[in-house]
Amino acid sequence: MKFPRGQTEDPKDRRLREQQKIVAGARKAMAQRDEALDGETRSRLRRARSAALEEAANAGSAAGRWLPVGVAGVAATVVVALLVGRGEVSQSAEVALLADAWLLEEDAELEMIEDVEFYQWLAEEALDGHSS
Amino acid sequence: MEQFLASVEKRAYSMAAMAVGNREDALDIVQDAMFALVRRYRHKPRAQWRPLFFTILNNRITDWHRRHKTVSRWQLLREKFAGGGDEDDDFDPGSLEDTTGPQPEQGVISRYTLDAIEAAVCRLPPRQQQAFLLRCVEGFDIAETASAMSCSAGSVKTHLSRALVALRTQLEEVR
Repeated sequence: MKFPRGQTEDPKDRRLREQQKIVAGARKAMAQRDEALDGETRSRLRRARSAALEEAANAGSAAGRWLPVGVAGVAATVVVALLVGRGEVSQSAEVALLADAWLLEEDAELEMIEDVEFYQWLAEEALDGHSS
Repeated sequence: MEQFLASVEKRAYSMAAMAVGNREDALDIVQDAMFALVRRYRHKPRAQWRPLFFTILNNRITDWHRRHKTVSRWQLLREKFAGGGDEDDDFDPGSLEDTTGPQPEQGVISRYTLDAIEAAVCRLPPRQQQAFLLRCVEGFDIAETASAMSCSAGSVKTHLSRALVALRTQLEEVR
C-alpha cells in the first residue's frame, strides 16, 4: 500500500496487516500440505479410519451378543444371592449392592423377574461350572 | 462418522506431523484420536465431533511431547517469559476474524513465502503452535481453542499473541 509523501502507515496497522498475511499464508500452506500427502500416508490414514470404525461396529455387535440387560441383571442378582447364601462371597455386600444397582438401573421387565426359576437354574449351572 | 473422519484426517495428520516431526508418531496420534472419538463420542451430535476430535488430537500431541520430553526447560522458560513487555499485549485475536474469507494476498503469496511460513509454524513452541493452528488456521474461536487446549481463554490469547510475534519476527528475517 502506498501512502502520501510524509505519511507513514501506523505501526499497529502494519502489524495487523502482516499478521493477516501470515494467517492467510498459513492457511494456504496447510491446505497445500494436506494435498501434497504421499500415497502411502493417505492409504494409512484410510486404514486407520476403517480400523476405528470397524472396532466401533464390532463393539456394537459384541454388545448385541450379550444377554438383554434386564435378563443379565436378574441373572446376576440370583447368582449373587446364591453365592451369598452359600457363603462363597466374602465381599458379598459390595457385590449384592452392585447387582441391585444393575437391576434397578436397567429397568428389568416384570416378566423376567417372574421367571425366576429359570434364572435360579442358570445360576446353579454357573456355580456347578465354577466348582468343577 | 466415516465421512467426518475422511474430512479431517489429512489436516489432523498435518498438524500432528508438524508438532512431532515424524510420520510414524503422527500417524499413531491420528489413529488414536480417531479410535477415541469413535469409541467415546460417536453417539454425540455431529456438530460436536470436530471440536471433540481436535481436542483429543491436541491432548495426544501434548502427551507425546510429555513422553518425549522434547519441550525442554529452556523452551518452557522462553515461552513463559518471552515477550515480557510484549508489543502485542493489547493485540486482540478477534481482529483476525476478517481473515476467514478469501484474502487479496492469497493469490499472490509465493511458494517461497508459503514454505517459509510453514517452516516458521513448525518451529513454534508446541503450545503456541497449537493455539495458532486451532485459532487462526482451523478457525476455532477463543473458547473452543481453550477447550481443545485444556487451558484458559487468557492463555490462548497469550500463546497466540506470542506465536504471531514469533512468526512475524522469523518471517522478517526471510524477507
